[in-house]
Amino acid sequence: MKNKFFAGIAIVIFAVVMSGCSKVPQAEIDAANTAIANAKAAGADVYASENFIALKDSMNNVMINIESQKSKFFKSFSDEKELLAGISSYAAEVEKEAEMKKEELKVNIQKTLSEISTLIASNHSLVLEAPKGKEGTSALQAIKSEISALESAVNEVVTLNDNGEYMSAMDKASAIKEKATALQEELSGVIAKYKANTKTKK
Amino acid sequence: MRSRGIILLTLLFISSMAIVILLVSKKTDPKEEMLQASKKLSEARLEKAPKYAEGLFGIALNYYDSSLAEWQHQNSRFILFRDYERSVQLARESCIFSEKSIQRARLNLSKEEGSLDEKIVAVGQAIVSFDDRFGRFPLRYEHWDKIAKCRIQYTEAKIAYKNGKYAEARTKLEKAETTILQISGYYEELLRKYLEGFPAWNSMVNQGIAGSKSGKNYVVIVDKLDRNLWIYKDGKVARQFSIELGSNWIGDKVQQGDKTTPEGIYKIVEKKQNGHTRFYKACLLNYPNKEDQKRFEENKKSGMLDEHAKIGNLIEIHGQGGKGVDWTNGCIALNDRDMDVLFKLCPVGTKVIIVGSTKSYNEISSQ
Repeated sequence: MKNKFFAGIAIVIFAVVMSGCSKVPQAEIDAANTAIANAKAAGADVYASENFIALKDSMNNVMINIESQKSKFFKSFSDEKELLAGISSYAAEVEKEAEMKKEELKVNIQKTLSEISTLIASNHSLVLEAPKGKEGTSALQAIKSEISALESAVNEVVTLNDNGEYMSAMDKASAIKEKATALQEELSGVIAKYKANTKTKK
Repeated sequence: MRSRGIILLTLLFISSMAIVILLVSKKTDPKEEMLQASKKLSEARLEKAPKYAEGLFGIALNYYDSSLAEWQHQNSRFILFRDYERSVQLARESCIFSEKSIQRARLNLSKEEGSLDEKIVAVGQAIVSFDDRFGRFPLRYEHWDKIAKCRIQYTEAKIAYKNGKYAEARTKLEKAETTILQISGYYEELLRKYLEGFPAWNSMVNQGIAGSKSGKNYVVIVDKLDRNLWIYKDGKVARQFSIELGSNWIGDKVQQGDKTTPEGIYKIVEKKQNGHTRFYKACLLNYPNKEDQKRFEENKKSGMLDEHAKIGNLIEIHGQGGKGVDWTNGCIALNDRDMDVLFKLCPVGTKVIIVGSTKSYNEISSQ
């Protein structure tokens, strides 16, 4: 009877001691932080910003839970370990999302640049169609300057793209495309009007 | 006796442990407050408080960090001596400031959106107004380049605004605005100086209109700035036509090849049609007249013009206009239908008065 009593006491003391000594899951915390840092390095804060904020929020909450466990007499970090593992895999997903978004942007930038190139080539051809001689091309100087400005803006897009600033590159490319399209319409309009008036005379 | 002592000690230990557990469990940690504070900070981030309510958000973040640090500090103490009250308070303060930062960010963001909306409209209007006022001015090459870049910046700004990148939108709008205002200022001054000739032009025009009254002849008046040609008869406007000029139309003609339309009082000296002109029909003017020749010689003597410079000739009012651009070498172009009318109404000898403008700078500016 006595032995059983002492064994029970020993178990209680062991349990208490074991609980009190439960270790903070530092390896899992480090792994989650590394995964978050990797996601950020992949540009998740820019290209998957909403999920990246959610990811950081989850990490903050887990750290709060861990601190809360540290406040307890009987500590248990098993739930937090699971959460941290979840965060690590979530971070990997966010990283992948950012990479995908970047790839998507790269493709769109190239597509837009190609469209711009076609538009600029078309604008150059239209300028060549413009009347020569006395009815000189000087009147088209504005349009020529705009084409030239568009061409140098395209170089800026390429630089932004090469520097990995895909969002800015895409925005700039969109603006150039919009302007090049407007220019093509303007130029076609001017030439059509010019030709129409020349034909009337003949 | 010995075993009774051991039992007593064990019971004492267990009782102490029970008391400790009881005391510890009564102490509530700041978990709920910290979770709440973390949630609020997250909300504030989504509301762009770090950018639009930087100060308040910074305070909220400091409170949060301090609360966590205090909590960690308390956890490092012996379990019985822990006190989370300060940590709880700090977390609550963080919540309060996060909420304040959210309100401030919303307000500032709304102000920023409003202000950007206004700026987009203002810069757009400045560009349109430049086009309206100076679109047909002979602009300098570097200005064409700057204006082209300015237009692209403006489009980029609108796209950045649409994508919620307000800081980028503002920077680009400010650059575009600076460019367009600078260039507009340059041409405004050029226009002002050009229109200093208005009193003399006005006197020439009045003289011409009066001449059309007394002599019962047609008088042609050309306003270069407005691109208008009026045919006067009996002191009244009989017809009004739109015209096109030389690409470098501003100012008086100085020499051959300057693509400028001369200013002064001329007359029709020859009428051409049926293959005698490339431009449908044409009325040749007596440019250069005596005054033009005198000024040309003076300019050559003063060194303003090269000694081999030529004065130019063959300034006409001719057809084939209506192209929407200034394309002649200094002639005045009308569309063929209008040329028919002018050709029919105005015989050889008809006075043609060409002026920079029939309006003063003040009149033009108040339009």
